[in-house]
Amino acid sequence: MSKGRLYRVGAALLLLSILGILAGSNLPLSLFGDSVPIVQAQPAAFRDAIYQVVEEVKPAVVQVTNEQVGLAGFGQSTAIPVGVGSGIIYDAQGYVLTNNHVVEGASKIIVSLPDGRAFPATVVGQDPQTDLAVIQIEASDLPVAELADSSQPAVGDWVVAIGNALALPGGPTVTAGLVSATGRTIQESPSSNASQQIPGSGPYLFDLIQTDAAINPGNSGGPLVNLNGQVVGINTLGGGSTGQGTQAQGIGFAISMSTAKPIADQLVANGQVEHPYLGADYVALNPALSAQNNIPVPYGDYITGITTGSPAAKAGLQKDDIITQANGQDLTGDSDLALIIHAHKAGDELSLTVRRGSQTLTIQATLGTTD
Amino acid sequence: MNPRELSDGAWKALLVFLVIAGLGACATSQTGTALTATPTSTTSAASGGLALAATVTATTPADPLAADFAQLMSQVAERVKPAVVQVTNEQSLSFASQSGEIPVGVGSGVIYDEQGHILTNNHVVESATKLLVSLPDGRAFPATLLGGDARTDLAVIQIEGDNLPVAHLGDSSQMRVGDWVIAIGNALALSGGPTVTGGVVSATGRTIQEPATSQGPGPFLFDLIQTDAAINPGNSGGPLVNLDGQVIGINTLSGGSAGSGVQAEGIGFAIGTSAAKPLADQLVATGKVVHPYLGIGYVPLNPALSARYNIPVSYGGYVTTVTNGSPADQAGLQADDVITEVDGTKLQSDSDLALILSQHKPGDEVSLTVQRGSQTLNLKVTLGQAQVLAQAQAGTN
Repeated sequence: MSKGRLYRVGAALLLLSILGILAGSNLPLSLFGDSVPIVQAQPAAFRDAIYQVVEEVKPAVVQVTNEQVGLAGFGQSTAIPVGVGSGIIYDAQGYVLTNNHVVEGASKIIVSLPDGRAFPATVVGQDPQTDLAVIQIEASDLPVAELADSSQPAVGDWVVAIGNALALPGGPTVTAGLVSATGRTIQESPSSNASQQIPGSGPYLFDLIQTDAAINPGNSGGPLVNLNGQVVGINTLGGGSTGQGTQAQGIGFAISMSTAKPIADQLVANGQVEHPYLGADYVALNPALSAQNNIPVPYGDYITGITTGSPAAKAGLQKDDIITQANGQDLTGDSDLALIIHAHKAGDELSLTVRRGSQTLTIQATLGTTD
Repeated sequence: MNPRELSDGAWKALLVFLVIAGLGACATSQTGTALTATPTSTTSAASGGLALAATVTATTPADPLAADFAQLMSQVAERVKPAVVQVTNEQSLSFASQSGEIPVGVGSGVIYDEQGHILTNNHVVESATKLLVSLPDGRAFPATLLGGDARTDLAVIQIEGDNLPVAHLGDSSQMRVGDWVIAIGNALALSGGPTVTGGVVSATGRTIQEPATSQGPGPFLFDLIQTDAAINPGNSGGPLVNLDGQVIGINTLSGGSAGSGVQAEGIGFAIGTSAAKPLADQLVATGKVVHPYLGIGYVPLNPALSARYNIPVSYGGYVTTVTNGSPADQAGLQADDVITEVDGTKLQSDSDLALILSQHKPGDEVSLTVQRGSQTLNLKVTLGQAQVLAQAQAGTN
């Protein structure tokens, strides 16, 4: 090949590739003459990211109205709205995932979509232990959101919370923030909603995603969405108050999809979920508490009650027993025992180290199931 | 050599040229947005930064353009902040033998043109005997109240000064849910310059009733932009800004006051400039805003409400009262009527009715499509003029 031909071929190829780059980058093609570089702004990919997520997912975020009968004192039997929360349509058959506390006690549930349509909903299944529920509406052409697979979002990832904050009319609210932490464990109060969290006495929720995207009353049951438009969590708890009654800011919790998806599938298949169960009520000890009450061990779970006929009763556990270890693990954190039980199945045996008076015993307990 | 072909030398030169041009094209095609304005603020103190009180600080994401985005937020803030003023409301008070003006409140405002016109909330300037405006550059000016409107909670004041920084008003109707916005204002009246917070547009078209005062229930504000950018006491009257550096809202309410005593977070509301600009113009021209008057009390419908009460339309105005002798009365409107359309435009949100009416003038004739039981009627109404000082009541018009 002659040099001239080489240069010709090289120039032609280079020209084509430059044209390709320019075509892809929206720069003007005139490299001659025009001295004013008109750099057309590339929309920064991240700049529109939240907007794109909203466009894709918001249509499937529903308002869930919980109506109950018999609260008016005039012999009325009409259902009136007692609460409003959110939900997410995740299947074309009309399945809606939400929190159990949003639909609990309802005699009638109304689901309203951002497009203006409203439908009565039936309960497919409820699970108080995980505060999840699946309800169903009958309709065609439903917008559907994609649930993320079991992998967790990373701490520091952007997430978008969509839901009916403060039940403001005119469509759901969108807030954005970061994943602040994953794998959180929080104990709900029995009638918990996003505005009244009283520590203690409700079920433990595990594997929660913590976020600073604003989560308010009314957001419960709505989706937490990643920048790919996939639902990574179900918003469940707002910051509420710490034990001392201080108002927290920028602290909210969503049940991660790695927990929620299997639960939803079980609720659709069976209408309920079985959880491993021991049947002992207890108070988690700490050094200060033990010292104040003359308890001989600084850590452990002090049993305050045993449910009749429960696995704990059958194993011979008694009130005032202190469980100090489960399967060889020291119980030093509040949620340690709950986490261990959560990691097992009904039928599994737990080996418990128990302090009874001045004795130390080993008790085998076979886990049962919740109803 | 064939005369129609370039020489080898010429091809070589072209190749060299194209290599250089190609490198240039590669470099420039990666450039993000460049703002043409240079920052004018002389304030060196770093301002608040993003309001996201993250337990984890955002790290630089892998997306190379996202680094530009992070700078974009601060560039916009720096460009607009100089025009965000502190507005001090002073009132005459007498104690025993002493009298004088004392500051009773502090809010924010934004200088929106070169003549020194400042847009703010009416509640920031209400009842002031003296208004003091302080700029971030340290200058302070007395301000004249050109006009204020309690019903829309907007006011325009004016200062006289040279080389005033200006933040221009943009078109709020272009804002989309999920767009980034920045709120600038004197949150908590913190000394040392305004506070900058960032967030997204959480919703548009919101209708919120302002909190009650000693004078009665608060007015309904319509077509508000909701944001999770932190808005606190002191932010009132300050701008909500888009990433093009234009003012698209006047921050007015924070979520904490959204009724029922619930402590909300990350919920704030701004009056969109698409509504505020024409009102500001009216205040500058005439000193007041004239509102059209229909003479009904109504409940704005939404799908959940309609489903619950078996009303066959999702949106509209459910008339609860008709004032005797009012334009509505004269047109034949009745209680229990549902207004579904105005001038052929179907009502599609619960603030549409008030919004459409507010775009009319007293004396305009409007055609209302009304559902009365199973009948559909068309009623023609000539709008009257609302009393200027009357406090708006729940869903009245």
